[in-house]
Amino acid sequence: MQIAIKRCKIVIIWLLCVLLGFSVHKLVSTPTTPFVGFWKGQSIVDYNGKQVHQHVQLIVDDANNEMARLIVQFEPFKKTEAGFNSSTTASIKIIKRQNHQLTFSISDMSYSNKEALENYIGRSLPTEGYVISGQGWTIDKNTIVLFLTLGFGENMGLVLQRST
Amino acid sequence: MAQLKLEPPVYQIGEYAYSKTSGVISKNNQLVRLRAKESSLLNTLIEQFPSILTREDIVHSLYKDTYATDATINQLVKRLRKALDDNQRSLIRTIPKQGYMLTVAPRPLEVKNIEPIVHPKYIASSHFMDAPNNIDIRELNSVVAATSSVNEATKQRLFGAASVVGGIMTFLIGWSLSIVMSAPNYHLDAIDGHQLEMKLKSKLEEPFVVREAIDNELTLYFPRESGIVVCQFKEELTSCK
Repeated sequence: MQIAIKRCKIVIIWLLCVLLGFSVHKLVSTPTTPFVGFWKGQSIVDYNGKQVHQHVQLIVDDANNEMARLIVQFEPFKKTEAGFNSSTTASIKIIKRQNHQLTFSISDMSYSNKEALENYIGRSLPTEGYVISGQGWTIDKNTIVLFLTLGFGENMGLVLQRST
Repeated sequence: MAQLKLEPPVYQIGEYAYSKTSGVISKNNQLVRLRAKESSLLNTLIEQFPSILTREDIVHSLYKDTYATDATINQLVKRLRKALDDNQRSLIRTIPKQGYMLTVAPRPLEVKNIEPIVHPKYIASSHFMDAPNNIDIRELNSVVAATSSVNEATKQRLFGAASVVGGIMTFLIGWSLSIVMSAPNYHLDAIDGHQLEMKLKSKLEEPFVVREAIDNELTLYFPRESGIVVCQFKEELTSCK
């Protein structure tokens, strides 16, 4: 009888260990875990015939709070054109998770030399509200893809690679 | 068979070391356990030394609740002498019409590194053909209990080790289940050129990526309501059409 009780206790403990393993993994692993890190990439966006070269840095610190910081530096793509340097920082927040893609919003944009960029592309740039939306995917451990729909409907694909 | 040990108090009797507690003697560099009655007789001879151990003393101390004839006592002494290889009667001397005594004084010995006996095996002397019929039950029980406790401790340790290993393995099983059951990764699988043709022929609903033959070049296809946006990743620069 005592042996049977002892065996039951062991089986219960093992079942609890299965549950514990399951729970610990759920706790440490979130859908955004693959995106955690420091990412860099470059893209060219066409604004009304004006091509802007963008240097992008994405910083994802903590997968649990599902927020990140985006830093973008702008310059003319064609070097023959009059140069300018403008940059912006923004917050990224995940707003939807569907099968195979994350949807996020980019907001709280803060520009430097905003006028130069606006003069170049010939339009004003919004700074408030959810100005840009986008989706994100991973390709491999060191490569992610963002597809952004900008304020005026421009599409921007961006491949970012992990920076060490 | 487990190794026998000399448990204190141990006495030097002639060339032998003898343990009164366990009834074991060292003989020819081996430890041999005497039978219970032989051991009791030797114990009594040691206690009685230097006095003579009479037949009445033997009956009183060894056969208290039973009956023993002279022949029984003679046989017992004979067996003890044989166990001690005392054919010349130089160790246990017969005092005619009185009894028996040890010819050498038993000397207490200090025995180091004594370990408890595990198995209460009575070793039949080579000269003794009959099965033992006088087993000291109390001694047998105490040694059996010691044996059982050692085996039980080993079993407990093995059980504990198995439980810990089982716990670790079940934890890993739970971890693996979580991986299997978790939501799909937000992952774009890279496809090759042949698969691209098939993809483009079908209705595109999900984006996909084509990994080019040249390392680190990708072509990305994003289906939109207005059509497919194709982006090229080349030389660390992404451009879209």
